[in-house]
This record gives sequence, structure tokens and C-alpha cells, in this order.
Amino acid sequence: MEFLDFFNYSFFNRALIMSILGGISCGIIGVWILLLNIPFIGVAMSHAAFAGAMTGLLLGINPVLCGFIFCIGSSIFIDPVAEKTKLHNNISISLLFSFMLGIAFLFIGMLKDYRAEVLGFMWGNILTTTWRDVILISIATVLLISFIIIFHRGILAILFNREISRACGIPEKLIFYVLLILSSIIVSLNLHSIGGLLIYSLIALPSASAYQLTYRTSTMYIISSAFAITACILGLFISTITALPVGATIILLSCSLFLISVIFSKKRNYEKKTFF
Amino acid sequence: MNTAVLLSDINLIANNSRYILQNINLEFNYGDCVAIIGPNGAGKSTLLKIINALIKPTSGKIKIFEEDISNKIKNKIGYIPQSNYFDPFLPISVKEVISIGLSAKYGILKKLSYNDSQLIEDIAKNVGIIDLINTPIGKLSGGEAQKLSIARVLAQDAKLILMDEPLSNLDNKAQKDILNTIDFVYQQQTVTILIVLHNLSQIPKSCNKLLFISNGQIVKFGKKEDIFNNKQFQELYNL
Repeated sequence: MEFLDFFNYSFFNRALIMSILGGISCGIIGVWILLLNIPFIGVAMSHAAFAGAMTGLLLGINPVLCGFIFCIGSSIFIDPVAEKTKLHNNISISLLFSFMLGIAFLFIGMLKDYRAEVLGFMWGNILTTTWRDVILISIATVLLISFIIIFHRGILAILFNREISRACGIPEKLIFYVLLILSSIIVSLNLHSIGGLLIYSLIALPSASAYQLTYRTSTMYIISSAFAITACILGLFISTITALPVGATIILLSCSLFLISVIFSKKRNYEKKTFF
Repeated sequence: MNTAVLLSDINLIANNSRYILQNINLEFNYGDCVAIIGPNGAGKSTLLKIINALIKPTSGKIKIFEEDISNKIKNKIGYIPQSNYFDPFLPISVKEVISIGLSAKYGILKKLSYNDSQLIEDIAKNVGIIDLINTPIGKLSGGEAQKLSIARVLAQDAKLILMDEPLSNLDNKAQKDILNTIDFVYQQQTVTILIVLHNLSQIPKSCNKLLFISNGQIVKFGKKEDIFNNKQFQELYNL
């Protein structure tokens, strides 16, 4: 079979569309997680989504929906729990992350069937994307981009400093929780493509790469999304040709792009001129 | 309207029943420039955070411009926190930070017009950072970062400006520069300024009143000369 023959297959085209939309959405939320300095929340959300998916499989409920509920629940309750218990945010997030991972593997152990589905949610399989997945991620991506365009002034304020935003009457908490909810939606919808144990890497690495290259937030969104799309599409092509696991290939390509960004970063050369 | 800030019976108690602030009754008039002085741990920064509702007191009432604190009132309060450290790679420019002041004033949905851009440039010129308008904030020196904070609250058109140790970690030249900027702002605008300071030599010329706090309690509040004659104050500062 010629490589170009793959484009005749609907499953491959769906995977390609998912790569583009998943790349855009993960690239964007990665910028928020990096600039808000909440990497652990990103990790906790990914593992909470994975735990939710396993719970869904065990209870016979839609795993993506269950993943979404766990993801939102974990991200919304981190701040209030840390406040009430007077624990540092990172400690409460570590607790949550450990708890979710424990739940996930406990339920995996209890699942007698669904082995293929479990592995799918763990490592990801973008080639099993359905048209329903494509429609849902399309809607979520449009929502995400619309939110950025309409509320970009509020988002900029909280990316700069949450305390100052709160002090001058900008609705900081509302914007922050909307960002977390949108991030939870994106994580849950990309769970099956990239996998619960790998999705955080697709969120963190493209934005970290973009951070090396630009001093403008708007450009950072674009570069981060471009890097995520590149990793996803290249990963899809490479794994199709070589039969390597697609999720792992995407993540290793993301790591390579990050290394390239560091090497070619003009920021790191301490030049005053902006790169873009 | 004469009263900018009214604090009535404010108490803040920590979990271990220790009083952080005790029995605070204060009235700052509109147009006052008050230096808040006291030893470490006196509760100076906490007092500022209570005024702008970042910390909720255990008991007591706060009125800002004779109204209860709401987002509408917070839009008129400009807060400059103690720490002004920015990550060197942060992708936010000086112009964007000043525009955050406009977001506080007009709301987050309003798009910036040409006039708003002009206003931002005028403010940057007035505080002396016009050459840095497109510079990423991570590249600013300590003094430049403080000027940026002042520019931000000017863009916000804040009527009450709260500054928490704006001169810390600055060299003498930068401190003098910031003090001149504060005096300039006070003279140009009708504002009330509350400024937390550690060092007596740092009190701006514009300050007409001093608030001396120790162990969470008000020791003395009034005109500069009255405070300097207070015995506890003299002992603390070796006068």
C-alpha cells in the first residue's frame, strides 16, 4: 500500500483533522497553564480525566463524559481545598494527582473486560477517532478561540498578575475558573487521541517551546498551536509508516521541537530585539 | 465627599488566636498622602490588603469613598504590591501592562481605541518610561518596574493608590526617582495615597500624615511633626 493511499481512508482523514484541532486546542491551553504558573494543575487535570475515564468504563457511563466531570471537579476544587486546609497549592495538587492515579489503576485492576479501551485511554489512539469526536473537538476549539478573542483583555490581566487583577476589580476568579473549565473540556476530548498519561506533555511542551521564541502572548498562542499540530501530524505519519505507537511518537516529536526551540532561541542569547 | 477610607473596629485574628491587627479605627481623608511606618511584622502590608479586600478582616467595617467595597469601588483603587519581580521571558509588554489599568477602568470587554493608545503613551511619558513602551516587562530594572506599576494605576484613574514598600530593593538613585514620581503624581492628580515604608528617609515630600503601627495596633496617627515627637517612635528609630 502506498502512503498516499491512506488519504482514501476515512479513519486516517479523521485522525488528521483531530491532529489539527487537538494541536490548536492543546497549544492554546498550554499557554494559559504555563503563564499562570500552574503546571501541576495541568498534570492533575490529565490524570483526573484518565481516572474519570476508568471510572466510566467500570460503571458503564460514557468515559469521556466521566473524564470531563473528574477533570473539572479536580481543577475547581484545588484552590478552595488549599485555602480551607491551609496547605500549599502544590501539596494539595500532589495529593489530588496521587489520589487520581490510585483510583485509575485500582479501577483498571477491577476491570475484567475492556482491555483494549483501557489501553486506548492510557496510551491514546488517534486512529480510532470518530466523526462525533471531530464534531465535539471542533465545537470546543471554536469556543476556545472565541473566548480568547472576546475576553483577551481579562485573560491578559490575570496572566500578568492575579492578585493585582483581583485588587482592581477585574473578575479574576471568574476568568480563572472559565480557563480551567475550558482546559478540562479540551483535556477530556483529547484523552482518547493522545492518552491520559501523555496528554499533559502535548499541553506543556508546545507552549514551553513557544515561550523560548517570542515576547508576545498573541504570537505565543500561534507558535504553541503550530508546534502541537506539527508534532501530531508528523507523529501520525511516522506511526502510520512504521507502526510505532502514535501517542508516544507525538510526544517524542514535541520534545525534539522543544530542544530545537531552546537551541535557536534568541531570548536565550539575551538580544533585546524580539524574535517575532 | 471628604472621607476616602473609613476603617471601623477592624480586627484580624490568625488561626492560633494571635491578633494580626487589633482594634483599628482610622479615617483617611480624600487627598491625604499617608506614610505607614512600623517595625517588621507590625501589620502594615496586611492593613493595605484589608483596605483593598484582598484579605477579609475577622470583624469590623470598611468604607471606601463612603461606600461598601464592590468591584465598582475596586476599579477606583490602584494597588502596587510589594514584589515586582517578572520572569525575564514573560511575553507581556510595558504597553500591555499599562492597558490593564484601562481594563480596570472601562471593563474587560472594551476594545482599546486610538485615543486609549495615545493616553497610554502620555502616561508612560509622564512617569519616564516612554522609551520602554514596547519592552517586555521581564527586561525592566527594579526602578522601571515600579514606574510601570505607577503608570498602571494612573491609567486606571485610581482615586486611592495603595503602595506596599515601593522602594524596597532599589538603589538610592532609583529610590529618589520613584519618590519624585510619587510627588509628581500627587501634585498632578487629586488622589489619596497610602504608602507603606520601612525607612524614615524614604517618606515622600508630599506626605502630610504618618501612621505609626506596631504589633498590629495603631500607636499614633496624625501630622508628620506629631509622630516624630512620639516617644515610642523615637526609641524605635533611634531619634
